[in-house]
Amino acid sequence: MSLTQTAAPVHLRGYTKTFGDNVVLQDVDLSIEAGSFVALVGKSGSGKSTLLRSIAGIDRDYTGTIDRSEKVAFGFQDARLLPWSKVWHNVVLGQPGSTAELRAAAKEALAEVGLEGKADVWPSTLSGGQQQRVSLARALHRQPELLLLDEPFGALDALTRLHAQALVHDLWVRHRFTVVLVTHDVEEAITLADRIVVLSSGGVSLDVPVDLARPRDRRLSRFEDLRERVLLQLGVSRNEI
Amino acid sequence: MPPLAAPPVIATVEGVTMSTHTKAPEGPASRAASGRPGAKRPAKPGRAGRYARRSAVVLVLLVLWQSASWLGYINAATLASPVEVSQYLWGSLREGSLLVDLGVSLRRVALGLAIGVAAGTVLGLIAGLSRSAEDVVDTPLQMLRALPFLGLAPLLMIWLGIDEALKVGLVVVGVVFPVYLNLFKGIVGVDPKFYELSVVQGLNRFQLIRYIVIPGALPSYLIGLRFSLANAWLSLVVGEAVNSNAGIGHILQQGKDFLRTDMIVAALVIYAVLGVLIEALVRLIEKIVLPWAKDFRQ
Repeated sequence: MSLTQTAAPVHLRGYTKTFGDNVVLQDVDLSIEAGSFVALVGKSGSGKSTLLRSIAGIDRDYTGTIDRSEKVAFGFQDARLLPWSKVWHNVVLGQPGSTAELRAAAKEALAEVGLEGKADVWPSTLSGGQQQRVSLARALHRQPELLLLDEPFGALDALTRLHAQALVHDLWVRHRFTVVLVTHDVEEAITLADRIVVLSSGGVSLDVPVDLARPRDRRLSRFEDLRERVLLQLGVSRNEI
Repeated sequence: MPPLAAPPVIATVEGVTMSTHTKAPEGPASRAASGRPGAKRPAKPGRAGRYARRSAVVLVLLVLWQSASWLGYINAATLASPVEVSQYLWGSLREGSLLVDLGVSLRRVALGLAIGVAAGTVLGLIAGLSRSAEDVVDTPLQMLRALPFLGLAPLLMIWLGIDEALKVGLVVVGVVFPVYLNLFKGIVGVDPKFYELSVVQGLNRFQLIRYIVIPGALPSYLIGLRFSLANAWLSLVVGEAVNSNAGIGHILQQGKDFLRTDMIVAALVIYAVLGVLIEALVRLIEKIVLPWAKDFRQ
């Protein structure tokens, strides 16, 4: 996998999304710098997932404009592997090339997530964390300039989640694509992202950079301060924090 | 009921959770069960043991039936004894007529299946893959499906006569509906999440059909195939009851005409054995075509 990958920015202008009479997001302008790691945070129903799905092209029912690279990859909350396809085939789903080429490329991508030995098994034989890593390999194989992640760690147990977060961070450091991560976990957002965008009541209510050295130390008071600031923005009261 | 009764995609998800959860309790739980000193429980009969028990039941029933015949409780004109039935089967096998009749019947089923499965598959594919074709094809087929297909026999007699075409035609109508309905249901029932996946992976329509729709619909399609085989058999019995001069139905008819219950029972036994064999064949096909599904079918 080439290490000289390019990253691409994302630009949203006047993005508006409605479900029936309910306006979820109104007139949102958002620019995401190439190569940055942005976390979209919000409560359930804040429209953060919908926004990400619009950027991905899954949800086209919106008004406004979205500019983004064609070289995009998406990670779902569930690993979303085809149960009837072997792991390597899932990794290269839809990609052109001969079987031998694709197999080799799939193994390369699987090696990056530490699963090179699992190319020829059925997805159902893997654990939840392994399946999520396969889905990351599938995203990597597309050599994206933009990686969109929709709560990719939400379905994992606490320990597996820490490993998966570290893996995503390492991959981002190695490939330097742009990452947009949707999450409701504020600590996760501060640990991984260098910018946090909070969505609430129909728009961006907070947009802060995370000026903390990596790897992030959760015990730092500046980490705590930022966490508190974002949580308050999300409507959590001070004595609940 | 076939083991693949759940919709394919849901079944897969269950398979995933099952395979991750069933492994976990192996250690402490099994140790607790076997680790109690002195608590010797009788060993559970294994696969072979259960098989032996089931065979024994069949054997006992046959012996009872045979004894009842010998002791005069069952008249041969009412019901032939197992020995008489086997004698008839053995005789017609040596004489060669049994294989000829078998061949004639199998040919009827095979021909009817080939036509019916092909038609059902084509109809299911076009209705499943195109909304407008669905509106045209699905409504009339759903209406026809409400008919018990064997009720069509008199109409088919008028249309097709009472010879081979009727026998094959009855098999065709028995086969088309389950194949069509289950294929259509399978295609429509493919998890919409996988359509989202096809968008983000940039699959074109052909790739979507090849990698997602067809494999996703396959378990349901095979269920349709099973039902259609069962129907094919029913059709054969009914079709062969009309003007048969060869085939297993011919044995049945002759048995009726000559009051030979050994022939009637022999023909029923053949129908049953063929049904079981075909069922086994479908299981084999499922094993070959759905290797990924073996986890949740255990």
